[in-house]
Amino acid sequence: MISVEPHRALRRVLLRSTMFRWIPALLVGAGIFSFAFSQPANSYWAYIVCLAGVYLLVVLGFNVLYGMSGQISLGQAGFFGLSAYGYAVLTTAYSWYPWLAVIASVAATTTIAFLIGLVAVRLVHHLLAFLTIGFAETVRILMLNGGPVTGGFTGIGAIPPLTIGSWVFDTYVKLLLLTWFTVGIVALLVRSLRESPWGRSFVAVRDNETAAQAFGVSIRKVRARAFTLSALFAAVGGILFLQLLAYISPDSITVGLSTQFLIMLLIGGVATGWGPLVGTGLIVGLTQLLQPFGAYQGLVLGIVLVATVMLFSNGIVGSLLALWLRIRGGSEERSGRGATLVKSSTVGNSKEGDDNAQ
Amino acid sequence: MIDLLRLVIAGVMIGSIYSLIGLGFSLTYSGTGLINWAQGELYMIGAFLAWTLLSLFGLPFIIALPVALAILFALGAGTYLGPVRFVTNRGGRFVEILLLTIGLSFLLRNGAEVIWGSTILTVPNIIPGMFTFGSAAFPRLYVVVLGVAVIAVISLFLFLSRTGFGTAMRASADNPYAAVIVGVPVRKVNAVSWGIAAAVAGLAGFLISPLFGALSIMGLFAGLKGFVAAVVGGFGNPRGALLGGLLLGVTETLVTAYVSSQLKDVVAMILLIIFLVLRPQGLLKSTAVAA
Repeated sequence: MISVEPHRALRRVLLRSTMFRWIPALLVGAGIFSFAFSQPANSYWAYIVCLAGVYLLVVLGFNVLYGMSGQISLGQAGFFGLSAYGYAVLTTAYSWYPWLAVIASVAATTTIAFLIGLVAVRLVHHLLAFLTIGFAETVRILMLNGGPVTGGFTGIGAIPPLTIGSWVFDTYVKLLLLTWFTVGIVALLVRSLRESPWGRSFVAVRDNETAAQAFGVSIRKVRARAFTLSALFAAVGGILFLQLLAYISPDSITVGLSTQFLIMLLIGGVATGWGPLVGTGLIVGLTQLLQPFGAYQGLVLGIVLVATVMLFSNGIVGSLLALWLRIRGGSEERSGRGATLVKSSTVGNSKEGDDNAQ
Repeated sequence: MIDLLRLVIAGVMIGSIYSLIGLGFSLTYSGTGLINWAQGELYMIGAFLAWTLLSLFGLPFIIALPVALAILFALGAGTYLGPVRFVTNRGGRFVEILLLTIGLSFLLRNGAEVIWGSTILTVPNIIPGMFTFGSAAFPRLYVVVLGVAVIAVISLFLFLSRTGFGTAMRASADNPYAAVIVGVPVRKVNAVSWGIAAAVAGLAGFLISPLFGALSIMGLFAGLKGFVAAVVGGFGNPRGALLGGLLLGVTETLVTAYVSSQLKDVVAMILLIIFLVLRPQGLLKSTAVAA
């Protein structure tokens, strides 16, 4: 490879430089920031962008669970709802100090997730999907029937807002900044997790359990860690969701919400860095567009999910990356980054033997 | 005592509905190793077909039932031959099919709302009258539904274990490649098992529609509970689905009556969690056990 064309060499340098990799993230950050300051304090669009950030937190966590460690969950709404309800109950019925309530409810949620992760090691992955559904539905039904403490069908309103010093998070724009700041931190965490021993052991278990075990990876630990992390992010999302709506009811944490998180991740691209952002943005936008059409909204979501599974199971980002790798072709394709991306598209196929196991 | 008897009978009736839906889950699972998440929605479609054929078109029951079952069978088999095979041919496995059928359940549920509206539709009672047992009286429909569930389970069991087709079905589930080599038409066999599963779930909806009516969201909980029935009984085992469904129905009714009506829906979920954690293979031997 002596005769490398100049622009190719330049591009390679750019691609490899750390700075280049940060440009998209910085652009998104700057976009959100300038958007926040262009909006009146309680504008509808600030609300929508904030909501997208809240969902994105959950989807980022779900990507760790499903994308990295290969465990399916249909109960992310359960973690989300449990921590939101925890905060709501502790601050209203028991008048706890808000930040203390945040810590308590997030800690409780992650502990439960940790326990589910411990059980998960015994279950084939689809039974796991149903265990998580069962958990999420139990949370919802218990909240529905919690009497005066959880407010039953009507839920809990008048949630005290979070404060930092004299700064009260009481407008959509302030919450938007708080949410996307959290999103930034979580995205950084997830990114560094990917390159860390934990993240690598997640991927190892996802791709080949037996081989991972042979190398001394504890499957039990991996599953429990992945569940705990994903629930941690979902729990934080739940708290912010509650701040945004200042209200929570059993209707906000249905199986439909869990499914929506799943759709967001799938359409964006499982196990890709940018998939959660793209998927969440797309589905939140689509939901807004279809708001006036009632049942057609669910119809379109169904079509999107079916089409994604059938036609491009890598999701938008995954498909674009695959395309990009094909265009670039040549020796570059075998670079470490490319290899992980190609591999990641096979997530979920790794346990072939189990499906027909007798 | 009479109360208890009446409750148990009501529980058995509702339990047989769960059994039929759970039977569908077990059938596709034991036949193809896959799950059709839209099982609950097929139950809902069954109820709407009852309304359409009986109320709208005024067909007699004797004609309406086979027509509805044929439509449901076609829907189930079509799902397998169309999207499901498309995905499995591209290397999709269990999780992909689960996601696909979740999408299909969205389509069916919202499609039904578009077609039939979002209000509850009442279906004429095909088997009116009460049945008295001692001093307890309950609708005759209960007996019919239970009878149909038991007959369905027995005939499916015989079908799977005693007929050539059933053997072919188990063979293609056990090892599709070997089955193809010895001449089993695996694709056809799989399509039939998906078709029967859909018809069984739809049958439940059709039969129960005079009592519950037809509503586009009725499949959500029914599907989950049918699934719980299948897990509790032993996933992939038809007799297990019957047992699990009856157990769930009776427990649910008794809890509603003696503990709290608010806990009705949580019973299924708690049963599901207990079984998944402590006994994932279910009451009877499951064909698919934990890793």
